[in-house]
Formats: sequence, C-alpha cells, structure tokens
Amino acid sequence: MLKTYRKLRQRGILSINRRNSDYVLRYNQRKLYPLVDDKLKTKRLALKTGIAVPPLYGLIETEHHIKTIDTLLEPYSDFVIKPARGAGGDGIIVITDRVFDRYRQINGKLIRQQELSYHLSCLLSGAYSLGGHQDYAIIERRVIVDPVFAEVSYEGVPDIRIITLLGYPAMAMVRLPTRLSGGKANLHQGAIGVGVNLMNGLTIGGVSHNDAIDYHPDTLKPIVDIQVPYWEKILEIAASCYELTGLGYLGVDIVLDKEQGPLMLELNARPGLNIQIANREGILKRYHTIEAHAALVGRESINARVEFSKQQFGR
Amino acid sequence: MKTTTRHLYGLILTLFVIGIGVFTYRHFVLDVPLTDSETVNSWMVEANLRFTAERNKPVKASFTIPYMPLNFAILDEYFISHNYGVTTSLIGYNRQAVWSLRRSTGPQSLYYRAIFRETDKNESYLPKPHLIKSPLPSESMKTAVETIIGQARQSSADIQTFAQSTFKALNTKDGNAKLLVGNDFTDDNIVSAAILVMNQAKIIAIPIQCIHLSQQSKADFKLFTAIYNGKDWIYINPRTGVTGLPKDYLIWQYGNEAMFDVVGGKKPTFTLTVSPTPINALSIAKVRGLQTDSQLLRFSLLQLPVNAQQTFKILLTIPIGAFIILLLRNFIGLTTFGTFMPVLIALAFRETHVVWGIVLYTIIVSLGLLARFYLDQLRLLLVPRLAAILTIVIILMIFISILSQNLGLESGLSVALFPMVILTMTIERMCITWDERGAYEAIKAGAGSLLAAVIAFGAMSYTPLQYLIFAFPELLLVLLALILWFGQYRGYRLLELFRFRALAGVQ
Repeated sequence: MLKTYRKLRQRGILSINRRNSDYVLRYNQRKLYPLVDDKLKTKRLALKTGIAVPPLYGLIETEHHIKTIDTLLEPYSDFVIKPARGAGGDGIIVITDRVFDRYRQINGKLIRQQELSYHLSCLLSGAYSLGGHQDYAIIERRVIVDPVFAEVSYEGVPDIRIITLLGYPAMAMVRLPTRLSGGKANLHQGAIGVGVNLMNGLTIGGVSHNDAIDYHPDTLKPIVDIQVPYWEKILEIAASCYELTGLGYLGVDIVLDKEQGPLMLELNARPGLNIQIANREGILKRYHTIEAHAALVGRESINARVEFSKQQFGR
Repeated sequence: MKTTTRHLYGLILTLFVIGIGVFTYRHFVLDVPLTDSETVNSWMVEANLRFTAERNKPVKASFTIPYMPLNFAILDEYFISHNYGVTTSLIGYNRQAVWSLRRSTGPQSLYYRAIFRETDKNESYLPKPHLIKSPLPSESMKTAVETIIGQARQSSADIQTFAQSTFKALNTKDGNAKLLVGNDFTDDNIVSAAILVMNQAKIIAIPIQCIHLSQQSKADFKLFTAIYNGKDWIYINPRTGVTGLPKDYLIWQYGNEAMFDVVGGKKPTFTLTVSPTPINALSIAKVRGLQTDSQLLRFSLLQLPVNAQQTFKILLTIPIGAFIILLLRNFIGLTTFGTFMPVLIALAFRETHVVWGIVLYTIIVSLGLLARFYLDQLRLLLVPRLAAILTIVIILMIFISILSQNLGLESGLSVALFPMVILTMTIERMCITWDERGAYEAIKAGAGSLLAAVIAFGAMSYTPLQYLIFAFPELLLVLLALILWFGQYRGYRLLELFRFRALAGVQ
C-alpha cells in the first residue's frame, strides 16, 4: 500500500485533495463559477469573443414557454435539448428526426410531444441541476460526428477534453461513447478515455474502466494513432478560455462537428482526474512546469501558450 | 502562499496550545477529573440531637458543627428538622447551629448532615488567640505543676517540644502525674491536666474534639490538644505526644465546652453517625466551581441547568462526528450522500442503537426508493415529488412503529427519531444517482453513508470521549486545530490508490 503511495507520488499523479486545494481553490475564484455552471452564459461569452459554439436555437425558461415549443422547433428537424445548469451530461435529449408527430431520439426511440413537455418541466424544476435549483432548457444545433470519430464511437458524440492551467493546455484526451455508457461521453459511465499527444494531436491509446485497450469495444476499430483534426485550432480554443472566463484551472470540452469543425461545448471548473489514467501519466509535473514558466514570463499570448505546451508536453 | 501557510500553522498551534493549556490547568489546578467514574473519598457525617420537648414551652436547641475543618472541605450541608427555625453563628472558635421553635410537644429530632471531602488544604482558619487566664491550681497541685514544668523545660527547646514533654511526663503515671490527672488516666483528664500545666507556663493550649472518620453509627469524640507556638497552631496527640492531626480525624469543636444545649426540652441525646460516600469527582468539581473565584471553572457547562447539559452533551459530540467524516472522506475517500448526513444518522443511532438503526435505515430507504420509483412514473415535478416522499417516509415510520409495537419490539418505536427530512433528501438523491450513474453507484453511496454513520456513531458514543469533551469543552479548540491540520492533507486518499494503481504499476 505504502509502495503504491510512493509510486504514485513519484509519478506525479494528482490527487483529489491536491486538486481541490492547490488548483481549484487557488486558481478559480468562486464568483466566476456561474460563468461555467450556466452553459448559456458560457455560450454567450464564447460568441462575444468569437469562439465557435453550437448555434443556439432557442430557450425555454418557464412552464408557460413549454407550450410554445412546437412553433419554436418548427424549422428544425434535428436538435439537442439540454439543461443550462446540468452536470455530467444528464438530462440531455438528442433528437435526430421527426416521424409523424413524434421525435426520434438518437438511440432510435420515439417520443411524443407530451413526453418531451414532461421532460422539459422536470428540467425546469431542477431535476438535473446540481442542488435541485431552478433551471432552464437550451435548445441548440445537434453536433454531427466528424467522420474521423464515427467509427470509434457508439451513438453519442465523442468529445475532446483539454485541461488548461493558467491558459496553458496541460493534458488532453478524447472521450469515446460506448454502448455501456449509453452514448454519453462520461468515463465513469463506461466511455473510453483516449490520451492525446499534445504535440501533434495523435491518440496514444485508451483506457476503459482502468484497463488499457487499443480497440473500441463496440466497433472493434483501433483507437491508437488517430489524428484529431484541427488540432491547432482545438488547442487555441482551449487556451483562450482562460481569457474568456478568468478561471485559471479549467477542463474545456470541445466537440468536432462534421461541417463546422471544433466547437466549444462546455467548461468545467473542477475537471476530473481520469485524464491521467487515459494518458497513463501523472499531470502534476506538467502543472509545475507551467507554474514555473508562468511565474517567469508573466502573461503570454494565446499562441505562445499553445506553442509552449506543444513543445513541453509532446511525446 | 507562504504567508497563508505560516498564518494557518500559527493558528493551528495557537488553538492547540490554548486548548491543551486550559485543559491541563483545569485538570491539574482545578481538579476536574479525567474520567466520569473517578471518585473522591468523602464522608457523610450526621449529627442527631434528640430530646423530649416540654409542653407549651418555647424550644431552643443548639449544638456545635464543624467550621472549615483541617484537612477537609465541606461539600454540602443540610439542616433537617420539623418546623424549626435554624440559624448558624460563630461563637469563639466554633460554629453553632441554633434551632428554635415557639411551641412543641413530644420527642424531637434535629439533624445536621454534611459531606466532607478530603483536601490537601492544611492551613487552619484559627485566629491568633488571646492569652487565657487560667485559674490558679491549689497548693498541693502547684508543686506538682511546677515539678512537671521544670522537667519539661529541661528536656525541651521550644514551645512544641515543651508541650510534647509535658504529655510524656503526664503519661508516666507517676506521683505528680497522678496528682494532676487523678486516678483515672483518660484522655479527658490528661488533656485538662496538660492544659493546666501549659497555661501555668504561659502557653496557650486548648482541647479539641475530633471524630475518627470510619464507618460507625455512634461515633465517639477523641481529644487532641492544640497549642499556639506564637505563629501556628500545633496539634498534639495527648497519649503519644505526637504532633500533627491524622488525616482521618475531623475537628468538630475547639474547647471542651458542652457540645449541645437544649432549653425547653428534657433528656437530650447527641449522636454522630459517620459513613463513607464515594462522590463523583465531577460533582465535586462542580461544587468547587460554585465556591471558587476561578472564572474558568465557573464558566463551565456544568453550571447549566441539567436538561441544557443533556442537550450540550449531544451537541458536543457532533464535532467529533464531523471530524470522523473528515477522516473518512479526505483520507479514505468514502463516498457518502451529503457531507454531514451520516453525522445526523449517527445521532439517530444514539436512540435506536446500531443494529436497529441500520435495519430501520435500510428498510425506510429501500421502501422510500420503491415509492420514489413509482412516483417517477406519475411525472411529478420536483417539489411535489419531494413533499410526497416526505409524507411517505413519515407514513412508513408510523407503520414501522405500530408494527413493532404489536410484535413487542420496542426498539422499532425509536424509528421516529430518524431525521426524516434528511432521509427524504437521501432517498431523492439516491434515486437520481440510481438513474444517472446506475444502481451500483447509488447503493455504494448509500452503504458508504451507512458505514460512515456507524463509524461516526462509534466515536460519538464512546463514553469516556463524550465525557471528556463535555467536562473540558476547551478540547474543541484542540479538535479544531486537528481539523485545520488534517485539512492540509494533499496526498492520496486510500481509495485513490486503487483507482490509480494502474498508473503505479506500468512503465
């Protein structure tokens, strides 16, 4: 046991306690949290600074609004409904099509308009938000999976998680949904985490529930050495979220759209630690490098930060 | 960052030092005991004056009672009588209790009961005496007195040794001694002879009446002599001439005046009963707290009304529970529903006991979950759903209580003590976790909460610890210091070692 402890420490694995005290508490001011806890606020901020996000179709803020949903959704055949303050991908409904009077979900299930209304009113009363607070629904364009990832994901949309410290990308992974995760890109629900080489955007190899794997369990396609497209752009988006929010320690979630390229999906002020397992490497040394560098040179431009990370953390 | 760390560790150290300092002061100086069961040797002495009152005459009875006795402290005293008015007053060296009644008939009984506790205090309150003029002895005695004075002078250096020599001479039972003491060499006679001798030698000496503290129903007085050497009072055993009053002797009266007096009554008898009463050290500390000037003892929880004390006994265990949760979460990495929900469940365990507590918790939460899953089908909104679950939880409680009452299981009744709002929230959160993260995660967190509650309960109900924090609330500062200190832990949690073990093994 003690040996494991020492080994982990030696490899610079970040622990929850240290993440909370040394990074979340130190770099993220509490008053800035609403910027990332509310997806709409994040989206508006991003639009203002020119970061690409999935286009907003509409909002549903009150019970009364739910009645107008038909006219609101009239022009769109596929869209996503998500709670503005939801966490962990819960409460998201992805509609791909309309058949007769029903909506077809991404998993093929048909739901009636009544059911959709019920889901929305649950969502408004805070069923999916942290702490059960009042919430509202965001309706936005559905992201269509980039063909690069189509072969290695099941149902859902894979996303790219990049952790940034003081605006420097520190580590990245791609999260691939599986049948087990129910199409969600959440590692603890069974999605696969695949580490990405920061230098060139090539995937390193994946982890599913702590086991190293090289093939997607559902599609059996290899997940090593996939080139993540728009890698430079992705790193820039991640790095620019520091200026966007003022939060020094962020988990940036980016999806790749077939037509629009990388879109910033959401930000997380308490990013998880699984990225270390996906990359099979401790993240602490990288943080120390970044902190030492930032103390030395002060604030750098986005491009300089991306370049620094690529040079330092490539392998 | 550096200054914050220094500040924090300074704070931790300060809290720790203050807590431990007050604790040691209160324990060692103010004698607050460390354990609940610690007892102190103490004695209950009961003085009883009986007499038959004369018809239609006012009654006034009095007897001597101890006043600030040597080696003992009076913890508590009661005057028990029927309709009598009681006053106490200092007369000479002694304290006297006076009972009076306008009219009474038949046998009367007056009680004085006091509890004495051994102390280390051995300074006497006795003031500096006035010179006593004693009657001149008769011619024949005078020579005997002078002979003994002469003998004693020769073999002594100061007042104390002179007194000791006098007693030795009187105890030889030779001619001179016989002349002064009489044929009967009782303590009484020896003491009065010795006092006569010493007064002639201009030494102040008074007899003192003591009782030996041992289990006895009719205690006799034992005579000692107190002499004044110009500075202090010295106590001398008249038989052996040994100085100092033995620790188990309680001074009842100075001088050999009548111990009791009854006006308006016949056939008075005065008896003393002695019995040991081991008294809880805490109650002694409490009584001392009322007597001393020490603010630290006066501002203790022991001075609160008893029912408030009970409340605080429970309240003070909560920080202990919270500390346990800190350990379980930050060092072990146990997942629980809510941070301090297990502490509240543990509080409920106090009444239900652990096994029943676990059974009841499991029953209520599982039935509540079933209800919650059913309610899910009805598509209720959040607030009505929570209200419905709360109602169902209370119905379940009623049901369990009535069922267990009919089955003769009294423990089932204590189900009402569970914090139902907390249970409701637990059910709701467990259900959401179940939906979102799967049954495994939900049951894991539910069982984790229960485990944490059991462990917290174990620590919170550990009686010595409970007592310690109640008698020494300053230990909360130490606990606070520990919490701040342990809160600095940045290392891996125990369960993280398993989570990341792949990273420790490969490469």
